[in-house]
Amino acid sequence: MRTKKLIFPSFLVIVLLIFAFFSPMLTPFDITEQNLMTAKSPPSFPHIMGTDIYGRDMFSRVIAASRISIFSALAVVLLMAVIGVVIGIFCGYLGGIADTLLMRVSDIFLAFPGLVLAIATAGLFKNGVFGAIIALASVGWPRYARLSRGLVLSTKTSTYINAAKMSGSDTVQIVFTEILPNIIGPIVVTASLDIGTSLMEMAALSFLGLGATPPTPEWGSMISESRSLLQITPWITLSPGIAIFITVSIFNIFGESLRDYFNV
Amino acid sequence: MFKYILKRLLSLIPILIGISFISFALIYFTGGDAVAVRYEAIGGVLSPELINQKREELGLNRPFIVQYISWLLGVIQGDMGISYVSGKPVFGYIFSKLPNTLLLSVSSLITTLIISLPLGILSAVKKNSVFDSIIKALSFIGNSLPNFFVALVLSYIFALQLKLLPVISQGTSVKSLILPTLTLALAMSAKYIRQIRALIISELSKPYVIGARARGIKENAIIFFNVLRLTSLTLITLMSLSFGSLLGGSSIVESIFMWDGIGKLAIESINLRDYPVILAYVLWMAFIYVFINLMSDISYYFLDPRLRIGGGKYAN
Amino acid sequence: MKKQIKLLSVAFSTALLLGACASSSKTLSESSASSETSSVSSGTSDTTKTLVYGTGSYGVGMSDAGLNPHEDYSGWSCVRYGVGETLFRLNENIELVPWLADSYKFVDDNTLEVVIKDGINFSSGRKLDAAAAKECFEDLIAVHDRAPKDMKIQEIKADGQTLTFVTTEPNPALLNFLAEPYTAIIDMQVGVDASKNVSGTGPYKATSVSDSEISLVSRDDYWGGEVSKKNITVKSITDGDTLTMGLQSGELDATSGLPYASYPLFENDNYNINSVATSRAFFLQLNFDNELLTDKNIRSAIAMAIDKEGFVNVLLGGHGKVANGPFPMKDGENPTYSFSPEKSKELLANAGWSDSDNDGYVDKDGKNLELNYITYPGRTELPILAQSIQANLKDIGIKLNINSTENYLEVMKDSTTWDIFGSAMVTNPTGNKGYFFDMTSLTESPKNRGHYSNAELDELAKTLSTTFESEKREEIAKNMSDILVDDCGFIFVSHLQMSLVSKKNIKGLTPMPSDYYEFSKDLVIE
Repeated sequence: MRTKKLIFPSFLVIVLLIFAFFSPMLTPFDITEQNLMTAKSPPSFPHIMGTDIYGRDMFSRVIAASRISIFSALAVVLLMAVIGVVIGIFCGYLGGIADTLLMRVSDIFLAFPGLVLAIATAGLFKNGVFGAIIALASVGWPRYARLSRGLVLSTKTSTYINAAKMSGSDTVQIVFTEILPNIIGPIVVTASLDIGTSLMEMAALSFLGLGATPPTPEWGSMISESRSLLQITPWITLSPGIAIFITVSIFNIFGESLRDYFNV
Repeated sequence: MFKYILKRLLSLIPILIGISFISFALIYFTGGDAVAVRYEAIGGVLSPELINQKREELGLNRPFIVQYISWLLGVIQGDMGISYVSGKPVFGYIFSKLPNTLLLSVSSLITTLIISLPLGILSAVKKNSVFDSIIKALSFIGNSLPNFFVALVLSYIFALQLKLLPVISQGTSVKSLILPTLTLALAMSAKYIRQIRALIISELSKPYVIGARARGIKENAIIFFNVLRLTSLTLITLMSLSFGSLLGGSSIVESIFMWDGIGKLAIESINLRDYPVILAYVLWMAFIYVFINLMSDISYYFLDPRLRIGGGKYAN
Repeated sequence: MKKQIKLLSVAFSTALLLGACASSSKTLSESSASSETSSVSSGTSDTTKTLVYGTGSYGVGMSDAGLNPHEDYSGWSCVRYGVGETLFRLNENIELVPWLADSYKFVDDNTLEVVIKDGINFSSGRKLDAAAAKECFEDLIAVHDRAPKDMKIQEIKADGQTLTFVTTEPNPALLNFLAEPYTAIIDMQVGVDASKNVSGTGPYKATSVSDSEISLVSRDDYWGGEVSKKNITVKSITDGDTLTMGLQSGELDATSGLPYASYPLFENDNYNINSVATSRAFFLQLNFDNELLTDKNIRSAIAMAIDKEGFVNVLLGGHGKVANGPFPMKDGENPTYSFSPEKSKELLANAGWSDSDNDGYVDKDGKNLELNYITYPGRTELPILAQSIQANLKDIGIKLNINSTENYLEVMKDSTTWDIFGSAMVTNPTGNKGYFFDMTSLTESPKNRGHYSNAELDELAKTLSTTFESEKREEIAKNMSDILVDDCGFIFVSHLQMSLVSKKNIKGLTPMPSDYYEFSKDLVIE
């Protein structure tokens, strides 16, 4: 029963990911092909989302943008989860001065406004998307570090770990065979629920011009670029907004079904 | 108690120094030439000598560590430097915008509670009813829409189509406050409703509730006198976290609605490479964040008697 | 237990109180704000009309906050909003004409004599004579950053209405700088107050000045003639959509700096759109460090592949003018490299580039022709231009990668990261046409990003800097422009059209090709 409920959302997410990965090849029209004669035409056949000010097919652009939009959000989550979990397990398992020190560092990053990091890292990497990923991951990892540290602390003293210790397993073995499997549930759930949020945050940074910039096809920057068209040719502004909504919804459904599955 | 607070206050110092150092270093090594960038942006032209002279005036030609220490010493004395752009002292500049941001944050938080408390409780009590499903769907939608998108659509509908509210923020009037508050509160309510619902449901299944029911106490009374009180602790944590992120994260909404707060100032300063203001913003935000965390920990201390006896769990 | 309930109820009531306080203070501030505006209009006279003007070009971000001409670019605000005036001004053809000056002559190469008009008063009531002007210029030279270098002044002499400038070296451009807004003449005896307000000779007087707003009243003792009675509020609104919606909702009466996308909303009988082509050019600089671009075939192929008409007429909605060179085209002039993708392809073929693998891009030695384009999003037209050129070049088989970033200066420091730089610049700010070349296209120019170098151009620039006679100067400048265009090291796409959009009842709000002038005495609210 529990697994059954997981099938459909997982299926949706997998389809979405495959689709996003191959999206640049799946567009019905070339995304840079402009045709000024048919610029700003409202949704109709064959341009089902209309065309933008350059006469480019909006539907194709929205599809093409899914790759950067979705995979940058995944990258943020993956980066902060991996860094956070590694540090969290390390701190929780070893304790001592290293624990105190790293937790202080995590306090620092937790209190950092992500926006400011975004501008600094954008300058560092000369690539807005990459900079924004780093910025969001930098302020996001402490949450995972704390979560996994707490989980480790609560499992560390349990009898089966003591048993493993006594049977001569070394630390690395214990972490991978005993601790990680026991704490992975809550972390996966948190991470899956974070994908949607990260996607929206990436889009927000791009909206401010701190992430992807036009003409990089990315939903946030597409909305930002076409803001002033909302009154005149609303489909140009609304199409990427709808794409964000659908994508975030799918990831949220997935995250919640995972939460039910792991029962956390 | 006093000792505990003092200890916590002292522990803030290394955090704040750490943040100031990282942000100063980041900006120093990645920010680019503030003087050149700014003149380029307004289309003006400065000769290399003049640029150098300006850099000299601003003290930008000194080594990194000297700049950092002199800046930090200034901060300790309440001097956060002079804005490159406006030429005004940064401290007062930011301080003058703080009340607007606070006002927006507080009003958003209150609106969020007004929306989410009754809806959350109702959907918990009427678990799995039609009402519950509708609220669930709505909060789901609210969770999946980026707030800048909501802001654009709201201002289009209310200001332009219905002409109910002004487009240009007129100071901090109630009318100007409505749209930004609503934008922020809608997204937050979506989260809060779900959390409050889950909290109440888990609380309602606890033995003391069942006991109270058995004693014939009315359901409403149970919720108001027992359940709400016990869930208030979690709510306070939630709210304090939200408050922190509101103070820092409302910048997009502030810019869209031209709300004259620190968030808007931060984005403007970022675009203009006004580094002293950016640095001050980081420090302010960090300070507010750690301060709110401290307050919520202290309120735990008062609300949760177990902590006062044990003292240990949150004391560090 | 009881204690906790008490605590909680205290907490809740405090929260409620806080909320109530907040809301009451809101209403308070609102009512005080509205009474303020009403007192301004009722204070002077009941019939005085007020014009609310929203602009994207005033404020700290533009470095022109305040009205003190001796600070940064604030002189632009001083002159734009009719508070200050300069000795000379630029007319509709960007030519110098006397304004506060009556006449002038170069006594020798280092001495300029200007006679100031008689009968002009500052808004403070003081008479404008050469001595007052001298005080102002001396302060300018002492405190301003750009002025001393531009004007090269050694000494200023005042005698009655005659003002004499002695320069350290021959400086034909001095006359042009006397039209630069930083030379707006203000009454130095009144000086600059804490809010950066000044007393000038213009048709309006500022009653209050802040970083985001200026309140102006018309003067009844203006030297240039009668000014219709009115109040003007200038509001700094940096967001284009807010500007648009403000004008639509009636909160604003007139605007400067509307986004292009918004014009269709105002192209009807309820609004006036007054436009003029300015000398702000959108142009490309090619990077000569890239060997590919030292081939003139490729450069001219790029030049002819760009659909300038399409960019201006469709993408900018007709709010611009096709360019052929740094300065706006005269009527009847045609672009040297007219749009012709076929010819571009031919040129590429001549240079050995053809699409041998049928992937849509031309190649040579197995490598596709791929170029990096850098620009910045600060000016809304630039990313649009970039995307338009990307499509144009694709048509002739060149792949263009666009990087639009506010960090462009940093990125461009590494000259291998870019091949084409799309930027915007006011090419003729003061009627001194040598300025554009000095800044961008001579071997040693500070903004010569692509290391373009042309000996002939350098030589002509030298001649221009010592030529006083205006016709001769004009001729040399034309020559230089032709050389630059012909060489395709710079490709000029269009000139900005400046538009002021107002409600129908606002008359006389006419933009000038030089964007120093917005409010004149002829501005009328009907």
